[in-house]
Amino acid sequence: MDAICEPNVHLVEEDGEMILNMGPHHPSTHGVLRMILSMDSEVIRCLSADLGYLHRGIEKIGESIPWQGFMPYTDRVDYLGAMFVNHGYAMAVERLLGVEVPPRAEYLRVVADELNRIASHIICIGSVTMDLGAYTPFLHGIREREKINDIIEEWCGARLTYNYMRIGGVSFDLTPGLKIKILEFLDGFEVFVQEFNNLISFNEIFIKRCAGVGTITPEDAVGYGLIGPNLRASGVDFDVRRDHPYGVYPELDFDVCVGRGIKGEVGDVYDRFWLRIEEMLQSVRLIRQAIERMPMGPIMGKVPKKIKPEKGASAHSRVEGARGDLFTYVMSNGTVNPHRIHIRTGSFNAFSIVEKLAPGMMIADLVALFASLDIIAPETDR
Amino acid sequence: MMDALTLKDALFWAFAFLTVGFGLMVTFHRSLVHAALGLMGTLLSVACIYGLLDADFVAVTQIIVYVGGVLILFLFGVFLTRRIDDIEVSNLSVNWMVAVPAGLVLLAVILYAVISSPLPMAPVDATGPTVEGIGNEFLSRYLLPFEVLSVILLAVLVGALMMARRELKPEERD
Amino acid sequence: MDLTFLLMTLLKIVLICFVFAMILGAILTWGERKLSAVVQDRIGPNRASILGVTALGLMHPIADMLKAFTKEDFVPAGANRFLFAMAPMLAMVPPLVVFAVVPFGPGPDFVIAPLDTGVLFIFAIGGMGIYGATLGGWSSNNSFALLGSLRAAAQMISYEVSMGLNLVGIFMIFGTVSLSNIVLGQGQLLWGWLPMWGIVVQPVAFILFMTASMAENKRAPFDLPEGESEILGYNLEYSSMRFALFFLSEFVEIVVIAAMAATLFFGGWQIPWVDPQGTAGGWITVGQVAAFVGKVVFLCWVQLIIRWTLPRFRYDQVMALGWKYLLPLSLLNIVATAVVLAML
Repeated sequence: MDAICEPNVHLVEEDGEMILNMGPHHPSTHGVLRMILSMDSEVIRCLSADLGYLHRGIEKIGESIPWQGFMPYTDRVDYLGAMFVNHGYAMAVERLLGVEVPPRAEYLRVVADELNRIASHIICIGSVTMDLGAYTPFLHGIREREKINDIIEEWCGARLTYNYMRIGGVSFDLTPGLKIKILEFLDGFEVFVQEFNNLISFNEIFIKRCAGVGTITPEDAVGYGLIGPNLRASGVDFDVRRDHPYGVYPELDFDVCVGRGIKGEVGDVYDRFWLRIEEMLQSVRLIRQAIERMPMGPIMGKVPKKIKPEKGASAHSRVEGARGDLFTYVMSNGTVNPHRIHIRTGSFNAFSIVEKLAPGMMIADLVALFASLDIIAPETDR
Repeated sequence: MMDALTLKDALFWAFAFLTVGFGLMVTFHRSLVHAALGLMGTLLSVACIYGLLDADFVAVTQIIVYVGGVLILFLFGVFLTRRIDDIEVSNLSVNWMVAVPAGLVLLAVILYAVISSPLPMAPVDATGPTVEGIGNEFLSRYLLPFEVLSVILLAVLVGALMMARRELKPEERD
Repeated sequence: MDLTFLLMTLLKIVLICFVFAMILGAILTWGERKLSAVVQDRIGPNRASILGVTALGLMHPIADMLKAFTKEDFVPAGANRFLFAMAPMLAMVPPLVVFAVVPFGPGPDFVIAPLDTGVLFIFAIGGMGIYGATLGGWSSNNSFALLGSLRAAAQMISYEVSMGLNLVGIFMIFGTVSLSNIVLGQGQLLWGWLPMWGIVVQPVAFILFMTASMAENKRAPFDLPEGESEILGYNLEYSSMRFALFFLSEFVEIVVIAAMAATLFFGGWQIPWVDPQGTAGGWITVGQVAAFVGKVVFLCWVQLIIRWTLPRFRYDQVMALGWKYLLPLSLLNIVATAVVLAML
């Protein structure tokens, strides 16, 4: 099964096969993505992935608006992890300009990032369970995510598209009492993870559905350019926060979780699911430390009113987003508008590996695999 | 009492006509699925006639085995071979020159058998539970035929499995 | 005898099938949503109101019915119109017919047709429920629906077998397949104090029966024919009242399963140690009918809570569970029961 079969995009059925057009509107594509399946009753013979339904040309838009003005657009790249794209873009432009970010802002960024990571991972593990037919754990997760949304709303005014970070710092400091709220949430969250595990993670049916399904070998994971939790679940020990440190992450103490194949093989659906649960707990650790060590001080660095980097200058940044190594590249042409902005996200690659893994799978496994890869439709297309 | 009898008679005739009508549907309908549905109607009507004759066990078994089992498998087969329903198999056009005389001969034989044989009109004992009686008979008087039948069914099952298995072999390399 | 008998039977049909089963089914649609809301920490349905009366959201089934009646009755292109219209009826009728043999109380007055072949009748009619799902999926001219109907057919046939075999132990112990007599048999006492309910004498069969019948009803964790996140279900192309019929039939079938389990395993209308022959009459009979209804409601609740707890099986896992575990277990159960009965 190493050769990827020819995509059958014309929906012409050959003998003995059935073409199933899964998407762009299908409940488990989580957005507008399309997969054309050629089926042998329940077993997938061949899959061809189709995307582009959410292409909005965000990178091109960036070329026609000022440097600061692009920040709200970064929210729209990945609607579940807006904070990371914010962070990546802000960091890239800061490097371009050589702006120093005050330490308090850096710590605030860590808290915001990790809260956002928890929120995003909740959606991912929730949709794995939901696509496997268990609706209750998903809604329990949504309840916890709602608390994060409330916290961030009180913090910066937005619940989904945060537009929180600024070039040179962050837009708002913590409101009075928010620190206690966050700490209270973290305490409750650890209880929630316990409950969630008892409800679904250790459920026999759930393990049977996930363990050993959709296994991605480390070679494939690297070869297809998977990043973030998907890569780590396959046993590749790589985390931007540790290996290419940025911000104040080097000063904080956290573990990089790697897939161990606790219920099946390394890199199966269960590993990806479990890894995200472990990462959420690491995020809890990080937020606690960041809140504890956060110094007082300004939250914005010295940034000129009109950002006009010299012509031809370019910079890049790497941020460990919820979906992994988020790469942002910016280039200046000497005007107030960027010359080029590029954002490299993980969902595109994650979607492409589905084509390789799908043949021979049952359709129910495909749904589990797809959910476990945490593919966010707008992130594939931008 | 007269009333109930006429009601019973009316029901009998209704089901008799339904049986024949659905039978015609099986024979003449072009779509296989509709023909299968006609078969369901026939089987159900026959079951109802059994019920009218106080043979409730036979009626129920008829439905369990034929309607709930065999016919579903027919439909399953039709669904799985997807385009089978698109092929307009007209029963009228295939070999009718052979079929019509053969059918007529068969009809004649059956009619002759029905008319010539003295059908005993035994009074029906509607009070006793039939299931217990049938069960007892199966496990005492008709034990040997019953067991032989079950062995045959087992053989059929194993045989069907063998055939299905061989067909599946090429798929198993996945 | 005749006219009054007919009228009485008609009245019983209306009362049991339409009033009891349909209304309990409709309330269950509310119950499912409300229960899931409680399980999931939500509020659940609470808006629909008649003149300001919301009654905890109990007006929602009425609102749903109105909505279903007024929506567009859509038939997809290329669908087999006749079968497309037939399928919801074929899904709805069998669960209602099954109630004909369920004894709601002591004596022949509380059952529509005290058939001698009671349980077999239920299997015969229940087995016809497959047609609704399979034909509905096939006639919609949709690949997803076709997959759903194939899953439905395979799953329901597989589980019917073990569902039937599970009850053989009960038949052996009580020596009858008539539901009324099984209920009477469950009035006996073991060792002078323990009611001889089915769940006491056949605990394994009860678990297997509930598993098989939930699979038969296509509900989670066996909701593959519907599998809303995978293939969207055999009733994918249905809208308006036709969809509502499929939907309602599922809930009526919950009531059927609960009624069967209550009758076979929870002593039917028996209240432990009270009037086991059902001859007392008066308030005791009322209490016995109420006990039956209470048991049915409890078993409905059990089914709902299971649905909101467990994830879904995969197709091959469902087949393996049915054929490799449930069937041998029920056969073992029969053998064990026979051995015990022979030794006693």
